[in-house]
Amino acid sequence: MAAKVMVKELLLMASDPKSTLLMLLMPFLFRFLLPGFNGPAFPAMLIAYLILGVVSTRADGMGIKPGLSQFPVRMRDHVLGVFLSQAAVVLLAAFLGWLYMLILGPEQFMAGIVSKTLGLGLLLTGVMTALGLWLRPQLSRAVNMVVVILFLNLVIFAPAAGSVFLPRVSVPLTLGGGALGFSLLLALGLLYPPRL
Amino acid sequence: MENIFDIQNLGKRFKSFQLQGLSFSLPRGYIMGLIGPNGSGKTTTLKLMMNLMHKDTGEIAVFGQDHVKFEREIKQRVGIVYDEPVFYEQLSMRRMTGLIRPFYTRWNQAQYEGYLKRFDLDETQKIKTLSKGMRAKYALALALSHGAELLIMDEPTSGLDPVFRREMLDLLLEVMQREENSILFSTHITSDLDRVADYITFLDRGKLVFSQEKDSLYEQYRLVKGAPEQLTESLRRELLGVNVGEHGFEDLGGLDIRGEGLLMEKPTIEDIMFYLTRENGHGR
Repeated sequence: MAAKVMVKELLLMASDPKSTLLMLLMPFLFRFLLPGFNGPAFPAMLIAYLILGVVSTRADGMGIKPGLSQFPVRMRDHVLGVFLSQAAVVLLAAFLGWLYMLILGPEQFMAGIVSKTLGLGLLLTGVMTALGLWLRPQLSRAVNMVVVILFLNLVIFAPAAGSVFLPRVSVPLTLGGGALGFSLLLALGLLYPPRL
Repeated sequence: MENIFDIQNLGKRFKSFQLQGLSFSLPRGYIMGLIGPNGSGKTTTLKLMMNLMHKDTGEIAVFGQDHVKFEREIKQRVGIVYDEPVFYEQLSMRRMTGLIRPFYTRWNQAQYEGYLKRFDLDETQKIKTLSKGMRAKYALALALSHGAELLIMDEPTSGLDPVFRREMLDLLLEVMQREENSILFSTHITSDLDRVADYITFLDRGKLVFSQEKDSLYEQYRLVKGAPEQLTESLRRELLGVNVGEHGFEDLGGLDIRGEGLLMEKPTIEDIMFYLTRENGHGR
């Protein structure tokens, strides 16, 4: 049932094809228009931007009430489905970033950029999804925006530190940490599900 | 007779309100009206039944199954119509239904389309543009299209125009006649229940006042009217919360009340609710 909820959530995110297409194209447009985007950290910006886009879509009306009131699911199915759909978006964004990097040549971009952003993205998405379950929508939206802006800042200023993205942490640590954090937040969501 | 749901000793405590030891049930194939003043616990009871809130005490069985252990199975067989908007507002009805349909194993598309046609709903319209009446129609079409055996309706007719309210009640009666369905209908528009309900459950400030057959309720009380001078002390003691005006008094009493010149009428559910609530000290 959680898989059905995940598919439903993904369909819901893509329910407005124009906005979805625009969200996917925007980072590429920014790459040509904004100097900050046109750098060796672009794949990370792409991933962060897509997470921001999804967060805004969720805040714009994908509340928990319809998910539980209109669908024959348990709260835990809903929580698991929402977490999985968010993870799927992060993975898709990372895949796009990796594909883009592969097409243009990995040497143009910072080392470890996609895998480390994937780890960070998973962790932050876990945080935002959990907050979305427990906080009031307006508060959750505000916190999410702050989290994603900090994430974007980290990515934008990363090239100044050298040719390796987040040089102090290894790829396995970032990926493992992100996955572990995401799993812990999912477990918390399942243990302490919200109520209507 | 098999009960469609059974609630035993249900309790839930909030900071400023407490639902206390509710016990009532509904036999299969009947309509129950859940009535009570605002804040009496009607919506909380329905949410607890659907496990949208944790209960503190008690047991709830729907179709003979525990409502927590068999939540998914139960929800497949229950249709819910809420008073508040619980749809993804940015979607059209078609997209919303497209998301809901795969979740129900007994979804009947032909029936759904029939209801849309009957309610004159254009599926391409966005939910956020629907009026309250159209939302209620859409919610009802969804609830009736997945083979629900129990319809739970939380204030479904509040804010609706009288024509659609009547239409909705007629439809409910039609559904009841066609199949072995049951309806739990929370409302404070008690005139709706005079028409359709078989059982009435009355909550007041979180407590169960009564839950019984509507007809036996009518047989239990009489609306007593008379001139002020006819209101003797002994009569006053037998009545439930006398409403005295310049030209006379009116009150609810039992069938055994006697008095020369007193006018005895069959009360409506609203009369019963009003006087019993007054007797409990509410709204004085």
